[in-house]
Amino acid sequence: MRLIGDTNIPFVSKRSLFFVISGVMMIASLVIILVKGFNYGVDFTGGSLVQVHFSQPVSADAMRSVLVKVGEGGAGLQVDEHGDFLIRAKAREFPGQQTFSSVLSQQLRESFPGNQFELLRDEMVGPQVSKELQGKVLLAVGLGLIGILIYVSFRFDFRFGTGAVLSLIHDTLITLGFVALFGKEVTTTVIAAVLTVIGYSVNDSIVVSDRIREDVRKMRKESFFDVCNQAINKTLSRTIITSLTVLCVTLALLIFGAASIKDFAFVMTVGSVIGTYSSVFIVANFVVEWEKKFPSRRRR
Amino acid sequence: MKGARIKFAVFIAAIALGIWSLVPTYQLYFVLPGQEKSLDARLARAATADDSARVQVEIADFQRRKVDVHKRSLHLGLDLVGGMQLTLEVDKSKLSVEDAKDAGDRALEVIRNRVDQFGVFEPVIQKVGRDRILIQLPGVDRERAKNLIGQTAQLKFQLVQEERTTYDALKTLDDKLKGGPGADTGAKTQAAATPRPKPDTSQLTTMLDTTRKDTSLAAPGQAEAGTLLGYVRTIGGDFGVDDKEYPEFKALLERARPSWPEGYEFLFGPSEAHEGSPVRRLYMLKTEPEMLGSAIKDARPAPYQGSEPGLANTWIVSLKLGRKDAAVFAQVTGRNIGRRLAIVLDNVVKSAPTIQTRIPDGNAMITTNEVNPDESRDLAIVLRSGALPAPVNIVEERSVGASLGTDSIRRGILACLIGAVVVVIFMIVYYSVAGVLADLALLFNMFFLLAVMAGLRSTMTLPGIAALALTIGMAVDANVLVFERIREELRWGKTVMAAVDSGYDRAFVTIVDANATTIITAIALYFIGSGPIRGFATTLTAGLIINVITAVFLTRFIFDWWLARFEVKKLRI
Repeated sequence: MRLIGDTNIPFVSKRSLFFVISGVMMIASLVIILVKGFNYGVDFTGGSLVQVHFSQPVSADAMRSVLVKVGEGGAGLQVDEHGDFLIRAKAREFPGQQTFSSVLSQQLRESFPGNQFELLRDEMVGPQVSKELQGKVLLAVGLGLIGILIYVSFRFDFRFGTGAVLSLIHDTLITLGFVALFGKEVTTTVIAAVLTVIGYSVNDSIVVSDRIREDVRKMRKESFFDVCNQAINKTLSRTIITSLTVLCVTLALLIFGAASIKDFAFVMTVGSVIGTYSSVFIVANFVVEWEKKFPSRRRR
Repeated sequence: MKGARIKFAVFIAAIALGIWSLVPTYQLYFVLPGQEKSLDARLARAATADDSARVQVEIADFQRRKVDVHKRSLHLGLDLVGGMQLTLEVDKSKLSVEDAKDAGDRALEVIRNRVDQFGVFEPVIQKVGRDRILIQLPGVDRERAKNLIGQTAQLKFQLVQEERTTYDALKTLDDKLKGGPGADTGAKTQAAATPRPKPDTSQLTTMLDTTRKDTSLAAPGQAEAGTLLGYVRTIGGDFGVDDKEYPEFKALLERARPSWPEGYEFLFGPSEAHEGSPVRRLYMLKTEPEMLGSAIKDARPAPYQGSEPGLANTWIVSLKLGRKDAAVFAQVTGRNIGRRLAIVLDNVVKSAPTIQTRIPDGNAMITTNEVNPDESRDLAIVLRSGALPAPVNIVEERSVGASLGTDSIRRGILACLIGAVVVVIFMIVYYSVAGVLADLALLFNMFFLLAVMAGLRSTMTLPGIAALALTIGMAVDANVLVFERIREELRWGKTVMAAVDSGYDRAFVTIVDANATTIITAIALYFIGSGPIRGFATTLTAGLIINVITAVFLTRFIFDWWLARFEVKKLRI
C-alpha cells in the first residue's frame, strides 16, 4: 500500500507562504507566552501539591472551608473528573516535622469524621529546592541545545546547521505557545517533553537535509531549487509515516494515559505535528532562501 | 553463508542473555506474589504452634529469596508502586564547626538505622550533596514514617520544679513583663485583640492550697489579661494552657526568656485532651539534665503493667540503661525521692512521674497514653538508633498513594499496548511482508530494552513508560527510512538484492544522525536529576540505541536470509 506516491508538490516555490504562516504562528506564540505567561508547577514555584481522594463525595465548598481552617484560604483548589481534589498551596514553614499535607490530613480527619480519604499525591518542594530545580532545568536545556549544535555543525555545513537550529527554535516556540495557551502546568516532565520535541525536530530536519546533501552531489545538472524540492518530495512519505506512528502513541498516551502523563503527551503531540510541518515546509526552504541571497561559489 | 551463521549465533546469544536478564524481573512481579499469598494463607491456617513455626521458617526463607531476586530486577519507581520520597536537610545552624563537619554522615547513619528497624522493603537512603539525605520508602504509612525519620530524638531526664516555685517564677516574669519597657506594648495589643474572661485564679489557688497546705498564695486578681498567669489553668496536678492559646502564651513566655530564673527552663507537654478540650501542660525544669538519651542501652515497646488506672491498656517504652549509667540513675533517683523527673524528648515533656523509690537496676519507662502500640514501637526504634546530631528539615517531598500508582501502571501499559497495536497493524498494511519484519524488530526492540534496563537495575517510572511508548513510535522510523529507500531503488529498476543492499547502506547514515540528536537531548535530561525524569532519560536513550542496532543489523539479517532462502525475485513493499 502507498499513502503518498511520487509527489511533486511545489514546496519551494510556495515558500513565502510558509514563511508567513510560520512567522505569524511564532509571533502569536510569543505574544501568548508574554501576555498569558506559563502556569508553573510546584517544581518551579515551590510549595505543595496535594491530591485527595475521598470515599464519600465532598463538596468543593466544604473543602474550601477546611483550607481556610488550616490557614490556606488562598490555596488553588481544583476538582478533577473523578471528583478528587487537587490543592496547590504556597511554600510555608510549619512547626517541627509537620508539612502542609500533615496539617491538612489532621484537619480532614476532624472535619470529615468517618469519611476515609487518601492522599493520592503529596508533593512539597521547598523554596531552595525549587530554585535549584530551575537551575538544573536551564542546565539541561542548555546542554541539550549545545550538544545538538555541536553535532549538527560537525555533520553539516553552516547553512543546514542554521536551518536545523532555526526550525528547532520555531518548533519549541510554537509548542511553548500552545502550552501557555492551554494553561498546561509546566513541570519537569513537561520540560522533558519539550526537550524530546527538540531532539525529534532536529531528527526530522536531518533526514531532509541528508537527502538534499546526497542529491546535490548526484544531480549536478539540476538547479539547487529543484534538488531541494525533489528531496522534500522524496522524503515526504517517510516524514509523514514516522509522524503518524509517533502520533499514534502520543495520542494513545493523551487519551488513555494517567493524569500526570497527559501534559507530557500533549506537548509531544503538538510538538511532533509542528516538527513535521517545519521539516517539510521550513528547513529546506530556509536553505533555498539563503542560497538565493548568498549563492555558494561552487554551484555557480 | 559463514557470516550468516556467526550473525545468527550472536542473535541467539543476545536473546538468551536477554531472557536471563529478565528472569528475576518476571519472578518478582509474576511468581513471587502468588507464593507469598499462599504462604500467608498457610500461616493463617496453621493449627498448631509447630505448624506455624514451620511456615514462619519458610516465610523467612522466602523473604531472603525475594530480596535476592529484587536486587537483580527491573525496579518500579515510587510513582508507580506508591510510597514516599523525602529530601531532608540537616540544620547545621546551631552546630559548632567541628560538629557540623560530619553531621550529614552521622544523620544518614541514624536515619538508616531507624528505617532498617522500621522494616521497609528495599528502602533507598542516600546522601545528596553535602548535607541532604534522600529517602525513598515504597508503600508505607507516610505520616508515621515521616515522624519516625524526622524526629531529632534528643532525650533528657530533667528534674521538675514544684508548683509553688513555678507559680512564683511566672508571677515574677509577669511583673517584669509589665515593668519592662517595650515588653508592655505587645502584651497590651494581645489583650486588646483577644478579650479574655477574667482568669479563673480561684481554681489555681484551690489547687495550690490542697496540694501544698503550708504555702500562702499571692492575692488572687493579680493575674490580669495579657499576663502569663492569665493564660494558665490547672490540669490534674500540673499547670497548663489551652491548646488554642498555646502559640500566644509561648510567644509571651519567649519574650520573657531573658528574665527566666537562671538554671531553669520552661517546657510543655504534648497536646492532650482534658475535660473535652485540648491542652498542654507547662513545666519548669532544671536546665541541666540529670541524664541524657545516650545512656539508653535498649528501648522496647511494652504494655503498661503499673497500677495507675489512667494508663491501663496503654503502651509504654521500657528503657534499659547501661551499667555505669544505671549507677548514676540510682544515685539521681535516690537523692530526689518525692520529686518529679521529667522525660523530655526533643524539648517536649513526654511524662513527669514522681520518683517513688531509688531505682537501682537502670530501668525506666516512657508512657505514651496510646492504646495503639504504633507510637511506642516507633519511639523505641528512635531511642535505640540514637539522636540525630541536629534537627532535620524536609525540603522536598514526592509521595504517591499506592492506588494512584497502580492506576498509572495500568493506564500506562494500556496506552503502550494500544499505541503498539495501531503501529503494528499500520506497518503490515503499509509494507506487507516488510511490515511484518518491522513489527518483528519492534517486538525484539521492546524485549531487548526491558532486558537491558533490568540488567542495568534501572527504575521504571511513569515518564519511563512514556519513553517506552515513544520508543515504539520511533522504533519503526529507522525501518521506514530503509523501506522507503528500497522502494525508491526498486523504482529505479534495481534488482531486489541490490535495492535492499543500497537501501540499507544509504539509510544507515541518516538513521545514526537522526537518533544521535534525540539521544543528546535525552542525556541532557539526565542532568535534571529527579527520579522520574531520569527514568525517562535512561529508557529513551537505551531505546534509541537498541533501535539503531535492531533496525540496521537485526532486520537486515532477517531480510537477507529471507530473500536468499525463498529466492525472492519480486519484492512487495
